[in-house]
Amino acid sequence: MDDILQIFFQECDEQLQELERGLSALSDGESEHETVNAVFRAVHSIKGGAASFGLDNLVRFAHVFENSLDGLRSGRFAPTHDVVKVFLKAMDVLSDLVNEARGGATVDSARVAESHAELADISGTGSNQNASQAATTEDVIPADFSPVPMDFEPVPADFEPVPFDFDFGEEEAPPAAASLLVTFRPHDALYERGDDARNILIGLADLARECDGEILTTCDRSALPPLADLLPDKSYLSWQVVLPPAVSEDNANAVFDWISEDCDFSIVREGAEAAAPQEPTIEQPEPAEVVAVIPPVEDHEAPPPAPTPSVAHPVQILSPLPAPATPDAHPGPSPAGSAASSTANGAAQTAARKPEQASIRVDLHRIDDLMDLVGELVIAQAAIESLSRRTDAAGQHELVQSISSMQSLTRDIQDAVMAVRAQPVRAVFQRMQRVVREASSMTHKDIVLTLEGEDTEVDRTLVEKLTDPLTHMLRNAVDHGIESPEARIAAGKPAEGHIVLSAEHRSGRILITIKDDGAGINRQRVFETAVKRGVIPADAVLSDDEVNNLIFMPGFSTAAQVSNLSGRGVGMDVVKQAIQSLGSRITISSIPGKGTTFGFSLPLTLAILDGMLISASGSTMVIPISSVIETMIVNQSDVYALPDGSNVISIRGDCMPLIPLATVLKLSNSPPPDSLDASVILVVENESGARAALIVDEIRDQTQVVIKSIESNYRQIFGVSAATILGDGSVSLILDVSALVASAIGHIDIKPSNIRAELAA
Amino acid sequence: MTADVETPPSPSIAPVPLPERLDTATVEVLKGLVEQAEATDCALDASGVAYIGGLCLQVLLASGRPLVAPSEKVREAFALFGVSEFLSEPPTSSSELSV
Repeated sequence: MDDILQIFFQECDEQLQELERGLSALSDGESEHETVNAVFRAVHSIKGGAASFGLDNLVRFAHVFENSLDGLRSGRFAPTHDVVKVFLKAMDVLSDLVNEARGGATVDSARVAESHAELADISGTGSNQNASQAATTEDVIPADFSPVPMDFEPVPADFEPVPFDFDFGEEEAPPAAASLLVTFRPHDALYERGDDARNILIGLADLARECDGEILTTCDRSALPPLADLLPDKSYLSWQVVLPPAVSEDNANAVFDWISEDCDFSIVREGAEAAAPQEPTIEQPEPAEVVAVIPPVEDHEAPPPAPTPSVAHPVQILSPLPAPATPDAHPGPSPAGSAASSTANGAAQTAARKPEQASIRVDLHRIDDLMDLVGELVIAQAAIESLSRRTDAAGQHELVQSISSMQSLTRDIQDAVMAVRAQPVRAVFQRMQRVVREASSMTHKDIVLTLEGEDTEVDRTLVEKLTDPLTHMLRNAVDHGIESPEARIAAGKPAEGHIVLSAEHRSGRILITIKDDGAGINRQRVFETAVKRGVIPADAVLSDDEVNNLIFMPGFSTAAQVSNLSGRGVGMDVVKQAIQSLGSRITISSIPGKGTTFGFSLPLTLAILDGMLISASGSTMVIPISSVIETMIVNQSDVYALPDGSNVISIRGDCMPLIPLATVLKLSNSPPPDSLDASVILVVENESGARAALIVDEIRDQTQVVIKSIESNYRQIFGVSAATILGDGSVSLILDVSALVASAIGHIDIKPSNIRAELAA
Repeated sequence: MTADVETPPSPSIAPVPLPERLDTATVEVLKGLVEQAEATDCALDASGVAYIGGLCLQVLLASGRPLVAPSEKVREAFALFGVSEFLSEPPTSSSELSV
């Protein structure tokens, strides 16, 4: 059961993404039928799945959501800005409810009720949204209301739920000869819940219209008292509706699925009542559906290797030998069988839920690629084995060739495995839509978040770690970056603020930028605040870049008042640390009045790095290739000595500090030689573009190294970010270029001219 | 034009205009309006009504006040509720007065 539930939640995640995508498209003005249908299907699938697991809260809300979407689908109202907004909010609630069902935090019932009322309102149903808001929050979903349990088996392979809604997947019942007579009398509770007799009538009329018929409605006013005695919130009327013969009882029943407790109703086939009372009671709409559903499950069971849930794919394919029983892969028949017994107490199980299981979905062709490569590897290994037995010179030559082809094979396999682990950043990016939505509604700003490059793929470990920093940064952009609508209009900008969140691949790293069109960083105020908080002395002379970077100082905040969102001065320094731990640094560029851009670049993986092997004072070390700009031999005439004894070098007009690596890392005690002529230097750059030249003894090689943490195995060392093991088995240190450059620049107040130019632009 | 010639069913006082949405939330308001119309013996102006819910329908039916110039939406709603006849032949004393 848990396995199926797990798959259901994965499905939910996918459906929610689909929903988000569809709603974004709608808000961008793409209101094609297909988009609306996709959105509708997503909610419908979640509802269907949830019903089979007895997740009542989820089902109830999804139902209301679905009903509203149906109004959109059938063109009862247009997807205006406001409507989409309500849908987006409802989607957030829905996703929280999914999370709640998964064992996450309980969703505030007031929020659910509020969204519920909004949905009911836009779908044109009666709602007591305004007047009795307080009452609604409690009464909209009475605690004792339980939806009719959907006793069907889920079909794990494709989670298309069974249509139990009248207008979805029209399962046409064989038209009976006699017309269908529906009588119903709503209880007071129906109206209290925000529903309305009108909706039942509309539902029935829709049914009739689907069969190209019409309904004949008769209103029974016999119970209606004179106006003086009438209690406004009491239900007096009852209705009798004659549906065309083509409408099936099941479909008619479905109209009452969600209100059966709040409404007396009966559905009778006219004239057929005496002959064949198929529906003696109306309280059990499900038997017919169970019969309809079970066969597909059995279909899936029949061929055992038939489509198993896709989680099982990686495991199954990666193990070509049938021997080891893989724990993750559940064979087809078992879940269905166990589910049958446990569906009954599904509701009871919702309380205790296992923590989230880590699994990823992978494109099948990626696994196939990997499999191909592994096949090649096996062949190459056999070739090497046979070649190594030969002793002649030609054999030796072939062996070397074989080994080098194996090298490229290893690299390909590495890439293939990386591709398996790679995930598009979309999952995180789309979550950010919600962050911005919530933050902007809290700050009463109208802000549109545009996503770019959501398909950019990065290692999944990185994807997960991106969520927190991005959340903080976007909240910060909403709260501090974008001005209030009034201020924006006064500044001649559109009232609606824009934030662009983009990801792109750039030279082996992924570059993520957050760009807002707000007021930019008020450097004057940042400086003053920093002085006031004692972060810097009042007479400090700081460059623009350094002032910008003050916002990352712990305890710093310029917000005039602490808001719910930010302003406590904890956000940005946490962000900085998080990004640093991912091996990057945040760069800021801010133009007053135009906006601020935060950017950082991440390695594609945290496990492997392309490095340059260098030696300094007898030690072999690795410098990440991404930070090396160029290598050159020093010409003494370009070197200038500074009063404090350090040197700078001028390369094509740019001055940068010279860092004697061995001395800085305290590897050698001997003073640096007087003449630096003909020394080998590496020009390195940190994330903010500041450069320095490292003096090394020798450049050895370029290689890929596997990163091993030195902090977790030993302790942090200045100038060293990690360690690795080289091909000869020796341990080598990976240099932290950013720290080296930062320390050199701290000594010498020098900045590349292009950085200044960028800031001034 | 003179109003009294144009709208035969309306009594001497102008009809009470009804809110646009007659849903569950507005039922109390509607009852107040209808009682006011009852007291002054004037009709109800339904020209601006776009939505009628079940509870408000009850109030309208119970009052028996004539609806002046019902909008298309009102006609649709009454048809849906199966009470169209109530619109076309208001069985009230006020209409008899004006005929």
